[in-house]
Amino acid sequence: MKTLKIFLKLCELNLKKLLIYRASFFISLALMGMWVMAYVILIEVIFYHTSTLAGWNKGSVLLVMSFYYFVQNLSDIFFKENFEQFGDNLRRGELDFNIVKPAPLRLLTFFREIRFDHAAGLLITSGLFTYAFKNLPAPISVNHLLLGFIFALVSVVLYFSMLSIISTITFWIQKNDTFSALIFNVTQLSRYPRQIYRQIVGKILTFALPLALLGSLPAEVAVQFENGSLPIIFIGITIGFYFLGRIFWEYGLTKYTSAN
Amino acid sequence: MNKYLSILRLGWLDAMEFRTEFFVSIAGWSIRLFIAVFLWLAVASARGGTIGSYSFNSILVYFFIVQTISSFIFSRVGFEMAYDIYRGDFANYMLKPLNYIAFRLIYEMSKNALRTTISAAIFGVILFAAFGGISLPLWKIPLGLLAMLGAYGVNSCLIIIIALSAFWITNATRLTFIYFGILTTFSGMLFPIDLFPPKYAAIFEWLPFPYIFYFPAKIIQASALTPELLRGFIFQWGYTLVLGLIVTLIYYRGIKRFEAIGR
Amino acid sequence: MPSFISVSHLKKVFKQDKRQAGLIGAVKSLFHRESVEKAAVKGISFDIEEGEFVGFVGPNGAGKTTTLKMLSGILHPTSGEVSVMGFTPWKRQSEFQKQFSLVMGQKNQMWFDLPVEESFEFNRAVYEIPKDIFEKQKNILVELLDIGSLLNTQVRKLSLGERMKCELATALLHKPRVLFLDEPTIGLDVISQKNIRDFLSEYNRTEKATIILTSHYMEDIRRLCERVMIIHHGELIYNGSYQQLREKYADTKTIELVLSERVTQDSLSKLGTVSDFRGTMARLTVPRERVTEVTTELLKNFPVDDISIHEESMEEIVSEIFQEATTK
Repeated sequence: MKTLKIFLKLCELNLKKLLIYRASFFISLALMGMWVMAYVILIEVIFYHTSTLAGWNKGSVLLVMSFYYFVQNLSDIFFKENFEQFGDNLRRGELDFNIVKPAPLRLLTFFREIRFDHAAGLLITSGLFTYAFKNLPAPISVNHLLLGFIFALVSVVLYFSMLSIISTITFWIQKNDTFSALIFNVTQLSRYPRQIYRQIVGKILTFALPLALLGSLPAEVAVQFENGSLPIIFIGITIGFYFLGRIFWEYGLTKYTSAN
Repeated sequence: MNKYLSILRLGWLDAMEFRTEFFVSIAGWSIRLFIAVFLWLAVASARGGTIGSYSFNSILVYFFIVQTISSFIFSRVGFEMAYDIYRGDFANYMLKPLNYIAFRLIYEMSKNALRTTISAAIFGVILFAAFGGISLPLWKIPLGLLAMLGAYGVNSCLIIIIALSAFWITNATRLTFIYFGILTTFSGMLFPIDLFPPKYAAIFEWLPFPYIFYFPAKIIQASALTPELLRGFIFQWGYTLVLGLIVTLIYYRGIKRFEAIGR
Repeated sequence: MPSFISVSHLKKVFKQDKRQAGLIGAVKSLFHRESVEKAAVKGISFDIEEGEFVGFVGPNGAGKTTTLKMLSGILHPTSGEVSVMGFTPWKRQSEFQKQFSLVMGQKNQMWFDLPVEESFEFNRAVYEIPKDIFEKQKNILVELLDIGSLLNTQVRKLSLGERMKCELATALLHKPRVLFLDEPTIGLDVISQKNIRDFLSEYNRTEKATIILTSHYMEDIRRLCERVMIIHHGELIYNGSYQQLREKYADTKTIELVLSERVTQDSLSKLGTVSDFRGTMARLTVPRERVTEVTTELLKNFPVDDISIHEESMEEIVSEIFQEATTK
């Protein structure tokens, strides 16, 4: 309850900031539009040569990509920048004021800068969703689509937890920028259906480092892809990663040296 | 000449400083290649082993070559120049007896030299070990290098044109990112241009972008020197020349503007 | 019954990576890092009672800030015990955190791009301060600090002095019983320093708040603190009243003179100890209580061009005490 209140307060303050700084809304729009277009063209070219990809039709592959961008959008808006700056903040000792406050520390730290100007991306993403729907062989039900979005939110939690774990390493290795940059690169793995990753790689990217699920799983739920109990396992994995992230963070904090 | 050699040395030292960036970029390519391998494997197996005129093996070789070219070509020179102009540091260079653009390019090239060498070595080994290599007749060495150089020329000119727009607008670095987006699609970085439906491929070959990745990769991968490839050289170096002229033109107009109102 | 704040054998050791120079060193450090241990705080103990105003003094890197950070739960100590109002700070319980505040002169907890008022509101949410108490406390602070006109100004547009006043207000909205201040007057002009000092002394008196302050301005300590702790190289080398400290060590001031004509050294040494003499320039060390008298004398009987009076510097006092401590 208190966490929610503080989160809303953080949103409110960042909204006010948005009004003070005229946001770079249109440039964000153009930039993201460019990249989404690049990957849509890739999918178009692939499906010019084939009609299925790892068992998926064009519309569903586009839907995976839409959910991937949706998850990315939410992370761009709410916490990505904070993770990127975390190393610098740590080196400058800026965690100090957050540590002494009676509120969840990761909330204060990773949701401090909420970039509502990145909401521009959501516009592009909704365009992408529309395009994906048009390419689906049969329409999907509203219920299943909603369920897809709920799983996309689970993906966001999973993504947050993974970023938190990587960031916690910064308490030991002051220059951890390499790792953070790496994780942002690695998430590109989730742009395509998880089935393209075969055998052992597929297993790893599904269960150990479940990156392949971020975009894939919500889409699978939405198009009712036959995947057994994977959605339940996915929720379990997310809960596991969440608590792992939390415990690791608490432990890392005991190694915090602040700055002079 | 000596002064440019000392710039070369400085760039080299700088590159050592930015080891982290170096490892990140290696990680970046490996992931992109990793994804490409699986993505195209899925495409190939859905098609019974071939994609357009490519086999799975040949498309992988293509991507490895593209990555090697990209480590040679990719530079931050656009950002550096845009910042120089944006912050007004450009004034310092105007006072020095050297060609600013040459300075930035050489500095950048020396920074990239290490990366290119290492990645060429890594990818070379992988190529020969995993895919039985590519045929390397004698004509390919000079022409391959010429194509790489031409690719460097086209790309640098485009990037510099965007960077120089900083004389007039404040968001030049953002434009560079948009350029990267275009480059990804139309240069053959994400997939070879000849996988486009033929009528589109024919159009795109008239643009400068394919001569940055697609064309040099084709040269290196080619089994014989065809007239089309030779025609490609004319396009590539023609673009380098034209874009080079545009750079010069914009540069001098930019200086005039800089002298008049500063930044 | 333990003291309000009690610290025993508190120790903090930092590990620092040793970097080797050059390319080979960089490659080596990828695989193997040597680290050096540096003790910032070497097992100090002290007690503080409720309502006390205590000054932590010492040169840079002495361990004052590190101690303060352990008291506020930012750092985990290497060993030793700390109890603040019965809590162990680094367990970071909310009940504890709601009862103290930390202000650091070089850092800023406010929202840089937003009006001051917004930072107040943020802390209201974080500290769960009831609306009526919040309003009341805000009004008191705004009046005491005279910042009414600043509330709608963006933090980034405030001067350093104004910002520190607002920082203090932000930190005190939840009526903390304990206040840790790390160099709150650093970099401020003389008037702002005085304003902050007046406020702190008033706050300590009216709210019965326990305050620990670090500073390297002797003036801060002199005006505010009943008790002084001197930390040097991570060790507590003095813990006692300011009065005693002054009488024992900082009992003199230095007068610097520029004269328009040469005078003899003898004529000056009648007034105080001459520590430097170059004919038309001189430095005199004079007991604190005689400063006024000597200055008047100088202005009356000497061809004075310029005169300035200096406190004995913290570094001098500390090194004096430190020497004494090591020779004991």
